Amino acid sequence: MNKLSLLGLLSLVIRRDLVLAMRRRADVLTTLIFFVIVVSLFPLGVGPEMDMLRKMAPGVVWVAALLASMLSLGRMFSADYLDGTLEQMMLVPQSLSVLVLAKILAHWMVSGLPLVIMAPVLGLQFDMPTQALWVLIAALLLGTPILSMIGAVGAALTLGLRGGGALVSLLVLPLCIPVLVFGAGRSGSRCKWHKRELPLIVARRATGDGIGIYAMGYGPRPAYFDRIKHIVYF
Amino acid sequence: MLQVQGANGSGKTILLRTLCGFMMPATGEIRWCGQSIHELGDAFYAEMVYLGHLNAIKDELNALENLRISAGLAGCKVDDKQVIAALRRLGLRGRETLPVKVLSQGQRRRVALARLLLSNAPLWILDEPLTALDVGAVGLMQELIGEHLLNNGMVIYTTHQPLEVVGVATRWLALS
Repeated sequence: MNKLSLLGLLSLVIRRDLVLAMRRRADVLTTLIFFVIVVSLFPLGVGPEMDMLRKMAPGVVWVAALLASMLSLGRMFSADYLDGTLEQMMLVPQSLSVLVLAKILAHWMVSGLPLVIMAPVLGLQFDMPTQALWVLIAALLLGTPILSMIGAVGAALTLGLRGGGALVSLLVLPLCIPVLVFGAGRSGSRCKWHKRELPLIVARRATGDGIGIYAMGYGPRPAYFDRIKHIVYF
Repeated sequence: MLQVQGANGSGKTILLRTLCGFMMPATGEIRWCGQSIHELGDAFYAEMVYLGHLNAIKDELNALENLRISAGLAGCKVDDKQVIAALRRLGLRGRETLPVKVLSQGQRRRVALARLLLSNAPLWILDEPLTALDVGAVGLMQELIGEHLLNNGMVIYTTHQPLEVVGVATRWLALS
């Protein structure tokens, strides 16, 4: 019997989740189409005032991305929880944190990455200049994984609860405010990165990710899982 | 071989789940080879396979993919030949590449049971393994458990159906 390496395990789970997403394409498309529709409603509602549209574009795209990512959060663990796969994953003789990291990465590839790719096309509706579009893509590339990360904590805590989908949004949205402020703020006004700002964002992301994965690895572990659930209930 | 018996709601599943480490026992501790399973952690999980009420198979994937992934997660590297052999042993010849969602309940259970054949773990913890299985499959299951025990394996299971393995003494645990 050969034990799988951590990287092997990571790629196995990512590949599994991507195959599952490809076989359930409707779920992926729902998120993307929701994003496209929400962003497109603004130019229609505000009217053809280019200056105003240009100013509000980053904020609109970010808020829409945030809401769209909420749509898919509930699915991150729930299918595996319902059919017993999550139970089996807890019995994997490997670090649970790696499994959770793989699931988060796969979730981002399925629900975050399409938004990043679609964003510049939607930015054109707001007459965003090319430079601003690049900044928007970069900001979303940094920001959307954080949304998946924070969302994963909410998704794990609301597993198995009735109305978990709405609850996860209520839990996670306030926690995403810093990401929104950073992301939309940078993609807006001057459309340039400050040299000093980038390390700050990367550091924030690294610490946030680190704490998130660590907590998630231990969060769903048997004994702790029940305790966390009790805290949430009371 | 230990068979756990008891009426509905007597705590059979909870006992098995506690043995797997999903829950902490209120008092005492669970040991594997003299060491607490919570201290052993991964070393214990590498030596056991658990089959619960839920089959832990994905409807969207076919039987082959499901087993390849579950064996991978359990840390065993298996090739397609082994997986197909395991599926055939469980009477799923010709169903290997069908999506699991088109299979019947009993056939899905068989796919889940095929996991046991792909694992080298000495300890099997089975919660109602015979649910939804037909007479033939129950006989097959007895055969599989018998082979596992001959290879120095251990089985702890709950069932409401009598399961007799020839030449093996069964220990009973009645919960009330």
